[in-house]
Amino acid sequence: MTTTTVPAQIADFAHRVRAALSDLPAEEVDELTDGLEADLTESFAEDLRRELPDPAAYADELRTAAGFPRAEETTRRRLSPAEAWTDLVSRVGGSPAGSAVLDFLEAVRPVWWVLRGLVVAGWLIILSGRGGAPVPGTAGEWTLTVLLVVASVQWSRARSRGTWWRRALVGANLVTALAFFPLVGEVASQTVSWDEIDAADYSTGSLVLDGEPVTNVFAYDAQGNPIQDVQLFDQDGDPLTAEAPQYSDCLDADCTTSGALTSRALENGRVAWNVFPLRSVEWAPDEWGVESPVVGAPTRAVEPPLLKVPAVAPLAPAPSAEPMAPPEVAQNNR
Amino acid sequence: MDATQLLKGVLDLAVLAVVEKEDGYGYDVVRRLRAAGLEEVGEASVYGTLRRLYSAGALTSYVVPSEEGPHRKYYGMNDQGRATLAAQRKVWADFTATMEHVLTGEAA
Repeated sequence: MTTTTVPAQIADFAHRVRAALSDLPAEEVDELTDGLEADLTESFAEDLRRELPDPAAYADELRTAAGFPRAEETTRRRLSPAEAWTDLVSRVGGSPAGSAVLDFLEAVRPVWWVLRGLVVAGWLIILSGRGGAPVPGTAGEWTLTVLLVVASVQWSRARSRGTWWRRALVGANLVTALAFFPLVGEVASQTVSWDEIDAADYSTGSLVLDGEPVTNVFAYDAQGNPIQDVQLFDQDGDPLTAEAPQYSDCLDADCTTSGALTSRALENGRVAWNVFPLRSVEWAPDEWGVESPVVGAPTRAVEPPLLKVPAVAPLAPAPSAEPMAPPEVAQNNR
Repeated sequence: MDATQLLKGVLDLAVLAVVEKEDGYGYDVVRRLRAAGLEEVGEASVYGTLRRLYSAGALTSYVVPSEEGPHRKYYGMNDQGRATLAAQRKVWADFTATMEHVLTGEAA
């Protein structure tokens, strides 16, 4: 007898053992299992054993005795997300820098819990459709925010109640983290910046030229001579008002009197800031010591910056051209 | 205390001793170990140990064609193996002496 037929069971067993070792280099597998069939045939024949052992266990014993790591360690089986995460964390934590970072993150974890509550509150405010910045404004919104923050903190502090709880927490964390950035963007866009506030002061209904307030307007006729008492309106019929002065200034070179530009009275009794050029009136400390316009004091004309300006070229005569109709009779300061 | 656990620690020594006495292939070594009294020794453990000792350079190996069946890989000793065996024998002797002392010392 030159060959022994290997029983089918043994062949199958050997095949399974090799499969269990398949993560190892092929060379090694061959070396380990070289005499496998022969040894098994012999032992099977000799032994009273009737059953072959579990191939996986056999392979495991074989590889550990040979000094190889066990199957679970080398096969990159599809780790569940939880396992993959834990694996990553432990590897990062292995390095000194990594573990320092992890320690820091662990320390600021409660900050995240608070932040999470704020993000949820902010989004609820946005969804409620009240407009404005997604930060609590009303008492109700403040209460809601506080409740959400407390709930968020308590949720994380609770002893884990099993995988459902933990998964829900992970899911909530992911969603909140994603929702965080658009929320910040929303807050930023709604919050008025200092630049905007500065600009706003000048832009509320007063004349501004290149960012600088226009305090007075001087008009000249077609010949280039200064004219008085001009009432100005814009294309919508709104008065072009100059900004009312806040402080007084010197009215003459010696500063013997101080004052500021003042409004004009209209015949209908209204006060107008769009009748140019504005005249000045004296300011003096009132009964509280605060400088303010002297009631009833005579107004003085303000020197125009230019005594005369170039004349305007006459229009070319147009055949039966109708001038554009001015808007309806304007009402001052409506 | 299970004898299997104890054996795991000294299997290298046992295998080296068996091979030193006479070259052998995988199952041959198993058979001899069992015959010597280590009935519970696992085959896979022995094969793996043989492979590891060989990789470490403590054993040589050669293939012997067999008349009765497929070729067999035989393992044999070399100088490194002999040195390792001697060293481990000493360790074993010292250890068992110490353990004996510990055990009889308490009893005394």
